[in-house]
Amino acid sequence: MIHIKTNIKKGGLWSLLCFLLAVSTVNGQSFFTAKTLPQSDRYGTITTRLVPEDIVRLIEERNLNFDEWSSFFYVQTSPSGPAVLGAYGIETNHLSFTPKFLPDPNIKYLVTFSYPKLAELLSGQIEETSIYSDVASFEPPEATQPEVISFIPKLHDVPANLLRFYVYFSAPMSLQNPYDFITIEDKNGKALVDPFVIVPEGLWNIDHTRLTLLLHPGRVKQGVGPNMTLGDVLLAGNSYTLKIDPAWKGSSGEPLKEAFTQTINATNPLRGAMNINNWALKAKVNNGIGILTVVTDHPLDQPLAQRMLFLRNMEGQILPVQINFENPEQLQILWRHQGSQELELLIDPRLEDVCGNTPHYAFDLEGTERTPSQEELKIKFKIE
Amino acid sequence: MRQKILILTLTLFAVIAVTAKDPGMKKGTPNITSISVLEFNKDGILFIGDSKGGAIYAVDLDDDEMSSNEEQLSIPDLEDKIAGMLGTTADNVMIHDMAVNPISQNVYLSVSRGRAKWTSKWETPNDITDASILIRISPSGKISEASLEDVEYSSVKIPNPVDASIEHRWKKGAKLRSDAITDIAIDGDKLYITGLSNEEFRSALWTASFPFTDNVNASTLEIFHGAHGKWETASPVRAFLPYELNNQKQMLAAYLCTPLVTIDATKLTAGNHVKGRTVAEFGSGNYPIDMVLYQNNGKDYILMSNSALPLLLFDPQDVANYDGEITEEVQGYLAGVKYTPRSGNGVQQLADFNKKYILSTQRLPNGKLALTSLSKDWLYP
Repeated sequence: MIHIKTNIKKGGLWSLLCFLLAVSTVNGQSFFTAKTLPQSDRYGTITTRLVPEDIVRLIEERNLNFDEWSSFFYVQTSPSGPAVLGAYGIETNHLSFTPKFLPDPNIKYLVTFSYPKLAELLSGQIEETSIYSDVASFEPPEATQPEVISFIPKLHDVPANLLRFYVYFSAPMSLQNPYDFITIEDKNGKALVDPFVIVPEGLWNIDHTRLTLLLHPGRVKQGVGPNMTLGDVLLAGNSYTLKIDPAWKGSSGEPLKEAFTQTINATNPLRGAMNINNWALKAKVNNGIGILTVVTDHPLDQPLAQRMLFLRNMEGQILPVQINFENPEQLQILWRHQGSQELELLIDPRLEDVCGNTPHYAFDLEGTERTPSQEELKIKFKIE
Repeated sequence: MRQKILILTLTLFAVIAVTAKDPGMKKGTPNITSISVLEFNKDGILFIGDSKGGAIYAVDLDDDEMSSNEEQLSIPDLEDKIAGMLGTTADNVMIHDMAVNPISQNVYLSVSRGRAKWTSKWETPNDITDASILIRISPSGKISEASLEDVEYSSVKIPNPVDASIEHRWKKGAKLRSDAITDIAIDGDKLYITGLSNEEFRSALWTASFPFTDNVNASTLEIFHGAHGKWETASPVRAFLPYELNNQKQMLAAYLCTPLVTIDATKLTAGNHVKGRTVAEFGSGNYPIDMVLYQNNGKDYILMSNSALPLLLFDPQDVANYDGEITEEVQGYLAGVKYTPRSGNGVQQLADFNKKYILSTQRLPNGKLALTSLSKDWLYP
């Protein structure tokens, strides 16, 4: 929510001539009120005090355009700047201005209301000569401390050749180097050396709320250089703790609310391509909503699965779906069901399990098929 | 009686003149999702390419007061001025495209608030966010919003634009849909539209006629990219214009990294897959932004602005005289038709402004974006 306040700054930096003539208060109160409208897409307006009814009527009769409104009720972001775009209106003898865009909290709105200019516009039918000016600012939302809200894969036992972690934050994080704040420690509390691929500033989603931590694939993959020299990142049979330092700051400048730790047990590596023929599908319809439960043969990379699983009806239409994971090996796909009782689950051949194995090749085995087949990957199913 | 006939004749002429814009236009507010590309025709009709909506809108902005201005236009702090209107700071103002109404010389900019997120040299403004505001600048420099509410307009859907869900292969977080329409060029009553489709060969060139009909032809394009040493079909044309070379209408089209290609207009028929002829490689690490045709001393030249290279000037006659074709990998990224690099680093948008000047936006050393005028007298090889 955006909070708006008005600050009285008599004779500030505002357009010099206006300010020499202007006053900002009437009987000690600002001529302008800035208020939020949280339940509306009109997030806020700047409103004048009561304007005499006969003047409001004259304004109403003229059906003014933007240039005319802004000639006497002027909102700008700098003394020499143009009029801020927005919508003017009349609200029971008050005049209002709503900016066209969500206000930038760093911007101050310089507001002027000039009766002489209004008189000029209305061909001198007004005797009032006051000019009012003020500064309105839109306060940013209170800064909140970000926190880790989700961690994927949601497993305590992970294959030792795990390829990625995903960390989800409640608010955008800063551009500080993520690897300065994230460590993986072994059971003796010793930090692992170079467990991650270092990507400058990290692998983020657009909103900077999801960080992808890529375990060094050259160490995960058997028999290649880094693996031969540095060894595996995780060893089966050992437990590890991933730690995130609370000193890490969000984009608002506030540090994390608390430290985050996640203990994981490395189990036997998962080396082999997925086989979708081993997936179990069960579909039903409940109150018009189709529910397809899919049990997979490998734990899936959940963010990839969200983008790479599709439902198609027999008319060839791709249906809008919602995908919910019970765990990385079991998910539900929901859709608004109508029509045919038979559908297809389409699988993008680039879909990976948590270890980088796809339906066509194993990440970690030589000699498996590397070129994705052109054949469409699909599983037909019927609704029970 | 003679006077009445004259009035009647003038009235009929006026009606014909107005309806010649497009009798199919209706008054209302077009449902434009993204103001991705701007282009005017000679009658002052603004064509808006809406990549997200997959459509072209023709808008009559009632901006038809003839200007014979031959002066230049300069605004040294364009983004600052627009920032004040949008209630933000200059570093967040992003200009997506620019076009000049050839009748009034009013300048139109499609604008968004989103430049703070523009961090990759490969991204275009349309990759970052959708432009939602149309700004008008008069030849005297007055800036205002050009409202798209309650205007006369018509529209046509482009067939099979690239699907909204498909991610860009190497631009992180970008969707191909932002390139559904990359440029529009107008030649008489014909519209040429470049972009990406859902076809196996994604690069597309649609042809439509104006006034719009439902008949929009889609051709797919393939070119040999000498700098990459391979045939390419996935990369869209970034900037182009129609031009007659040796009495044959061709599209002169520039692509990312920066091949120049001629495309035979007669082959642009429905469903046809067209191979372009690569006639130049202008350099790598760059994408072309704009291309404008102008005259200096009665002779045609083409000026091209770029994301990373300086202004490039070339003579279309050199293209006509070039009988080769680049079909093998080019070492050093430069080959083919000669060009003249002109000073003009940071020049982004280009548009023919008036008899004497080409208008441009240019990033200055102080970081500000200026609207500047380039003298045509100065622009020759």
